[in-house]
Amino acid sequence: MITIEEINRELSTKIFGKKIFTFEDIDSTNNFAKLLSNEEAQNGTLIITEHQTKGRGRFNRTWESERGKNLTFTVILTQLENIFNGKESLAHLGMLPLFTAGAISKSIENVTGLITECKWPNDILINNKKITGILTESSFSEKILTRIIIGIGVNVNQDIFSDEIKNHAASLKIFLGKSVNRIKLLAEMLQALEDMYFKFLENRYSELILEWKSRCTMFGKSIYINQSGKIITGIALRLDNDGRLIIDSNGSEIKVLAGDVTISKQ
Amino acid sequence: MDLNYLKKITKIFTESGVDEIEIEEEGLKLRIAKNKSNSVANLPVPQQVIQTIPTPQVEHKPVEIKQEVKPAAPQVILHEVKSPIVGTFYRAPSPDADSYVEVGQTIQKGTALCIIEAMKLMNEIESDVSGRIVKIIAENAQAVEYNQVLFLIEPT
Repeated sequence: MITIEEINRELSTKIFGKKIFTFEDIDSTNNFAKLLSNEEAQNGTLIITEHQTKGRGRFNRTWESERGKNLTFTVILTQLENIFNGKESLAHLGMLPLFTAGAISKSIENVTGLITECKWPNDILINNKKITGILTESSFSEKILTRIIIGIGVNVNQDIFSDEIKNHAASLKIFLGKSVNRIKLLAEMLQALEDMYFKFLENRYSELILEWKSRCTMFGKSIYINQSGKIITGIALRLDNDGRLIIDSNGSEIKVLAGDVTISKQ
Repeated sequence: MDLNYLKKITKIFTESGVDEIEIEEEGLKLRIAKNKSNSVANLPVPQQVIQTIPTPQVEHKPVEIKQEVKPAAPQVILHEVKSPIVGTFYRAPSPDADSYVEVGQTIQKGTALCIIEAMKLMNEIESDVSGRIVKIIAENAQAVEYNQVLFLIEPT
């Protein structure tokens, strides 16, 4: 099991990972992060586990991960009252999953040398196979944003995937041909997330969008988007300044805010 | 008692300087008094229209004909829960799960009401009051704008 001492030895962040909860087993690191009181949930708190019994993605989709092989963690952002609480800044809040994917991609590349691809908004792929799951959640009360929870699952050293997902998912080890040091990768990811967070605070959105765009390979490709059963098809064109996906759908430009994107086979 | 007689007595009484007169005749006792406090301005009952007929009066107290306008039922001010962001409104945490809340349901402050998704950022919106859900205005899986009213809640 990854220990707090091992993490601390590798970590050189300012706030991310300064408070750590580690678990051999837990239902979900995001669930735990939600239940922490305001006093317990310091800004940058890390919750990490070797195994989730109820790992979940968006809309409670199951997240599979083999015990002890991967990275499964959550980072909590607090002290948000002066950052996001205003119409303007809230408009940028939706870009956090996108920026998180950019930061995680960069750290995977730095540690492994593999080339990653970003798919809108927050999927990270290698050779069209999903490497990472990101679930970003937040809570609003009285229109005040109280907490942001970024849950990240990275397939690091898992060798075998179930029949259900093996055509869509893979691990870094499968592509690299050898195991990856999980602690080093975690430390790199926390550093990249912290850098992203500080840039976000300084409104350096265009820099962060560029980090994502430089890894995006979907532009110019035919895609289809499933929005709760409603299918939109078109060609992925670009992102706008708020991170929304612009597509050409039958000659009209459409701004896409939500949905599961699939790149059509060429 | 003859009505003309009564009118005559009343006229005499009104034009006289007497404040009160009492007549007893054939077992019938008539008492007429001038209403000195002819004003109703200081009556404490709110939202009542009061017409006062001053003298004469057959009773000890001045007769008041009250046309009462019943106060309207107290108006309930419903609390609006508005969207803090632009996104897609979801009533349940997943498509096959139960909705967070239903109309008529009693909720506490802090109860999760819905999710608004903005580019895969799942924003849980909590109620900022305790009360009863009166109306759910936004439709499931539909886009909502900043400040759009999502729920009406009757606070308790």
